Amino acid sequence: MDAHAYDALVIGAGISGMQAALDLAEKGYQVLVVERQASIGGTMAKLDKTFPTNDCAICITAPKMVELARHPNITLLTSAQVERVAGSVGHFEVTIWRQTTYVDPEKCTGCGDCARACPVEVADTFNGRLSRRKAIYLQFPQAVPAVYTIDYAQCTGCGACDRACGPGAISFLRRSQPLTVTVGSIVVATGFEVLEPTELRREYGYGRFANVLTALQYERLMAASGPTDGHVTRPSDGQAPRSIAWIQCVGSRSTQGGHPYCSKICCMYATKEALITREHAPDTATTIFYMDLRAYGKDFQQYYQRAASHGVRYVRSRPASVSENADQSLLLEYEDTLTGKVASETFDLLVLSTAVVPPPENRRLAQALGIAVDEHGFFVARDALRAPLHATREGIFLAGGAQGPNDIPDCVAQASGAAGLAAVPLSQRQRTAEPVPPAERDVAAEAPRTGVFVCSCGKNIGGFVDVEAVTASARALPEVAFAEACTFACSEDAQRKIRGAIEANGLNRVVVAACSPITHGPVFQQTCAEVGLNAGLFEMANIRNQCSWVHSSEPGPATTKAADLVRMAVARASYVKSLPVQTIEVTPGCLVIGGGAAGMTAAITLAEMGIEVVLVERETVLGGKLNLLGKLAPNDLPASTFREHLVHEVQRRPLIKVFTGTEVGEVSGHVGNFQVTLDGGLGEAITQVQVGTIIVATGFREIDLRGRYGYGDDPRIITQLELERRLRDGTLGKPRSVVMINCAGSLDAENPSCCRIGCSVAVKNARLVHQAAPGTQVFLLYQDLRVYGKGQEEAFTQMLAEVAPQRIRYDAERPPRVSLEHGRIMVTVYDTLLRDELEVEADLVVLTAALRGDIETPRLKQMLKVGANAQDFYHEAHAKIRPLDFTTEGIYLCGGDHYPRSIPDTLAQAAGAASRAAIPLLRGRVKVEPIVAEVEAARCSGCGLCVPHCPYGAMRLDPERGVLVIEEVLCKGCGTCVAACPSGALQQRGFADAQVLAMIETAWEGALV
Amino acid sequence: MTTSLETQLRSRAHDLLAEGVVELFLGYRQGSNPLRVAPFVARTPLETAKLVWNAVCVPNLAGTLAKHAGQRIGVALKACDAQTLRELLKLNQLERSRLYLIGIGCEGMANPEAITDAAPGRVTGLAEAGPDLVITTADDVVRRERGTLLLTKCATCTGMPTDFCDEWLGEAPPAPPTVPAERFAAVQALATLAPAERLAFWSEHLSRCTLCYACQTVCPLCFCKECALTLERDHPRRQAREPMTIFAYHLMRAYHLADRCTGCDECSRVCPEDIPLNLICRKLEQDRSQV
Amino acid sequence: MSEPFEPKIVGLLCSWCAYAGADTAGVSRVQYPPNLRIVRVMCSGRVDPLFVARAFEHGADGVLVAGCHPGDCHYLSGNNYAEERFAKFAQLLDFFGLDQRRFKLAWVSGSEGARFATIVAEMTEELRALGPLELKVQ
Ligand code: SF4
Ligand code: SF4
Ligand code: SF4
Ligand code: FES
Repeated sequence: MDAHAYDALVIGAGISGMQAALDLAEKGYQVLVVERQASIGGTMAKLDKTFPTNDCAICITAPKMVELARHPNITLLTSAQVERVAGSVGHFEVTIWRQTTYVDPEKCTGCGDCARACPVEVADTFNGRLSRRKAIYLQFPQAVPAVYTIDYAQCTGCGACDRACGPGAISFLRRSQPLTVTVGSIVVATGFEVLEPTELRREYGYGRFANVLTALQYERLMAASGPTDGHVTRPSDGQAPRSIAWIQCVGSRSTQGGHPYCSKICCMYATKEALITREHAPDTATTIFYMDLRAYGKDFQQYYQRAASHGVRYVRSRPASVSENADQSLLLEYEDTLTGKVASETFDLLVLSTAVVPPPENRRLAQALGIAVDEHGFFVARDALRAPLHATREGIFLAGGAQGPNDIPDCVAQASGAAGLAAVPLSQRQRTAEPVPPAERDVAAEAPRTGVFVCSCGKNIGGFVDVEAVTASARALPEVAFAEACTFACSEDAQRKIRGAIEANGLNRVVVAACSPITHGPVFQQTCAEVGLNAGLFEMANIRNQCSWVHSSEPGPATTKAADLVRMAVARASYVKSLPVQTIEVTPGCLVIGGGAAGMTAAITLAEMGIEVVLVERETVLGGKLNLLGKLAPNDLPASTFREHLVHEVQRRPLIKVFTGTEVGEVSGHVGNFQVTLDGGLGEAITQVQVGTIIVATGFREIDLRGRYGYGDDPRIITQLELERRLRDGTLGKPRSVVMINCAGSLDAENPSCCRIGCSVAVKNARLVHQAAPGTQVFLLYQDLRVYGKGQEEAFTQMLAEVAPQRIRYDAERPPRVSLEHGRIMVTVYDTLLRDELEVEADLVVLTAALRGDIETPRLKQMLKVGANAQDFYHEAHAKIRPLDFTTEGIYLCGGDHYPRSIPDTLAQAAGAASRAAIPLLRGRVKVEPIVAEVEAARCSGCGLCVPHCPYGAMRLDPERGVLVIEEVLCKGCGTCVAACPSGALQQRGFADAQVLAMIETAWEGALV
Repeated sequence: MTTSLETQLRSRAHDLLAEGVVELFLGYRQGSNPLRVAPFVARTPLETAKLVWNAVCVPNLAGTLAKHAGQRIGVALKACDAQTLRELLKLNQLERSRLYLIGIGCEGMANPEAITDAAPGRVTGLAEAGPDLVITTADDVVRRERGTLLLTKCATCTGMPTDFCDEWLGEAPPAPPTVPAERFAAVQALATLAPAERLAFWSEHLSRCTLCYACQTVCPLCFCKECALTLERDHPRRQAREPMTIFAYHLMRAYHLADRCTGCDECSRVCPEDIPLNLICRKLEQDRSQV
Repeated sequence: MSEPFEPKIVGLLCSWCAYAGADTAGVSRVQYPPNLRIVRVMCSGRVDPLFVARAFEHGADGVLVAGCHPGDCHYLSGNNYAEERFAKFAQLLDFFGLDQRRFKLAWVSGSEGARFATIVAEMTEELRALGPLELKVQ
């Protein structure tokens, strides 16, 4: 068999797989994506919202799905699985089994006539079996590819669908087939599933009581596209529940009752579900029964507090059992672990936050790939600390839920990281050149001929807005040459029709009236581009999110409004112009700021991809925090050993130029071409470097606790970082008692954040203290034990067994007090579990200090024109799906300067940032923002009023000509300057005065009242 | 009869042109009647004989100055002209190094309307006599204290910017320590009205506006090459002369001038419909003084 | 004349937060009165007061300008400028006697769908009470 050759294979196309595939494809590598399901999107496509920003999950997933399906360097195989992998890195030979779905993807239009004809009804697994679908079905409305699939296990072979299918897409003769391909490297991103607690934890009644759901099922109930259109109702009677309870850790954190690990995401998604439930239905009582509330990510603690202040009730407890009442509500018995009281309470609906578990499929796949899984079935890393993304076979990399519970940003970061590492074995390969954009029609001289496509989005629009009437009113507008209604404008089939209509009618403007331009604009712009219409000639009218969905009780006014919105869009379209796509050449090379574990790893990964790196470290030695730490979790590797290893790896690579004792002086320029001055300090040389991209990896710092907890008053009161140093140097001595106080300076009014790593650090160091001084009594004062990271929960359990520390839970309202009495250190604390004030004498007090971003952040953020929060942690471009990017293009971040994280996570992020930063460098050119501001020199009076308004310093006055000049690559297209110009000399491409005014001035023309 | 200030001015202008310090000298010449003057540019020493300086030199020279930007130019400035000029310099519309500024000890300009009120009939002559103005008409000669005839803006003049001029002619009047309260009396009164009454006030006045744009044309601080508010006059959506169209124009004109209007009141001077545009100027000035 | 007065509102929304918030209102199916027509711009900093004046000129009874919360502007400071400009502009509206309630500047994040809906509902209510923008000119 002639095997088709690809550069890389990505297994699984959830958010991780998609990100990995896109990262590789963007670098110019040919990627094969193999997905087991009929549609890509994974678990994220099932979610309603994402924490802590409450972003709509499908809204941010769908564009990625579409981007992947459309990417010229990506080949997508759905309903397929990997059978066998022979060969070795660089030359893997992969056998893939393509399961037939009996539907020809080329012919299927996604119309759904087949499903209407199909007589077989089965439970809809996508909706958590809360609704029913047919044996031939589309997984969900935004499925990619938008092709119907026959569920072979359920199909009776009656042939009704075949007879109903207009285009004749269905054929029962289509056979499943094996396929052999060759690839250079492989990314495994098979995701996770959630436990169905029918065996384990059956005491909660799941499967027996109708109104007990898993959190993923609840997610579908909340989802606007779910079985109840987003109205939360009880499965038993369809009534809105008045009270809902969540039980946390169902099947997690317990070896007897499930799995020993912490599932990591449940506290936050339960918080999200409860919060959003209350936002929708403020009278619903929501209660979360938890063990420890692990709100340890960036802004998680604030999110948790917001939920609590919105009336979500949190009960620290141990739920015992559930029984069903006559009205099918549920009686929950639990022990409140704060009061020690046993109580019982009735809820209309019970949601179980069940354990994250690996797909059972993993074990088979592990065999096929020749890599290892752990006892649970998650794939294991070659070295959990130092190579968290490498599988146990060379050339195979891991990302996301496949290797354990992870939240979305961690998945995305790992996916980018895996893509970066997977690009390494490919570095000698020829990359696919930048595709030549399709030729564009020059329509500048033509009078507007606008085509209008009005989408009914199934019932989403059509159910409330008279789509035909809107189409007819559009047709009546003078500029409109063609208007048509369609069912799903974004379906591949409809897009084909749009392309056809553009060509057949010589359309030179296109208006799609459908959902939001934010999520779907690019999709249609691409469609237009394929038939030669520039993206700028496309316009969208948002008649779903901003009309049908929000006026569903007023179909008349909703229809009028939709017609108005279309008229406005058409008016604007008459003034739009092509937006030229400009590209600029990229200077090779990447600057990495910060020479700690993150910076060094990023530098090494880049160098391995064949990219030159300038690595700048402020201190005189590389290593960052590794220079201060003792031993590292999870395998007690001395930090110094790891540091040596990394430094050696950096130094042996000639592509990496290291500048130690050096600070970044000034940064100017833009993606593709940054000029940076490196300041070697007093009397040292100032070096100028030019790079194409920049990675910021400046790490974090402990806050200054002086004046609190007696810190600074006595050398026996230290921070965790200082303890690490003593452990490392063997200067701990033999303290009889060590009191660790967690959350020192965290979780209070001044700094509401949770530092994330503090609990794990305390757990690790408690063990190391115990090993160094076995007789020591360790006291652990905590608020919630939020151990975070892969394997940490297990380490925590082990520590409890080994060290037997005295655990004392305190409350933020009554924090521990440290006092010095005649040379003795006394710690007084109110134990909220014993409900008693305790006094402990300490030989050593160790404060787990709150963490902040690097001290240089305020300066650096100005220079790089990026943002940071009050704790000096940088703002990533998007909390969920762009955790490694800044909004400023060409600059990326990783490690503790984003938020404190474990070393394996830091390394994964660093590889990920390297992967992101490599994209422009490997492509060689970057695109300039098309919607920049422009000056009409003839109208500019040179008054300079606009200049201070540009946040990016993109404008200056030309003193010679006395007019304004804009540096287009620096302009981000906000248009702030345009509004500042009294003369109308500035315009923003795509948002010119004439274009915006056309909408404003036609908004109420011909209005209803 | 020429006043001594006028003589001094002519001779300074003559010398500056003769010595080549400036290429042009900007001042006033007599207009069609004794109550009118017009901006005048002398290009040769000889032409300086036409320059006048009297009690009705009202037009703001800063705007005319801007039209000659790029040339070396001398100018005789009143306090209000100087304030406008200072704004124009801030906005890069003129280069200070190309200007030769002669500050004039202006005692406030007379309001032509007040003059004709005081001396009905065709005015044939106007002269200064100490603190008084002597108005000659066909059949009378009226003598009035200058202070009683002043324009409101002059009566409440806020003075010449300090260290601004290259030289000085006449007594520099002392700048008032604080802005006289009467300057804002009228806007203050307007502010005490209920919004609906204010709306009625402006509706009444603005209903006379013909959108002739004289106010925009004369404004020395409307320096745009083309006014964005009056553009596209032939656009189909710009044909309406609805009240709101007129409001929108005045609202935006005020907004554009918000940070710069110095209250020279040129707009209300030229408005053929006598719309009290100076109230807008006072409002802007007041808002700024409160910041 | 028994038809109740339905105000006409034009909304100028920044793409990153306010417009996204309006989208979120939709995703969450939060209902609000159908009296608003939304125009998307990239940033509230792009909104020229002229747009507001023109909206009034062309039939709007009220104008809503909305952007990201202070500190959240996708372009760092566009909303600060918007705030500055519209403070000035609102003063002038008042000076000319146009009721200040006809113009509103609001900050709405991408996740504040419900809040967006409330803002629109409240504004619609206020304008209903206020009546149409009519300049009586003899
Ligand atoms: S549009 Fe925004 S980024 Fe571009 S030049 Fe104007 S102010 Fe600067
Ligand atoms: S504000 Fe307008 S006229 Fe003034 S310098 Fe800028 S572009 Fe030119
Ligand atoms: S000069 Fe008077 S009439 Fe002419 S546009 Fe101005 S206010 Fe209106
Ligand atoms: S992007 Fe929303 S206000 Fe600037």
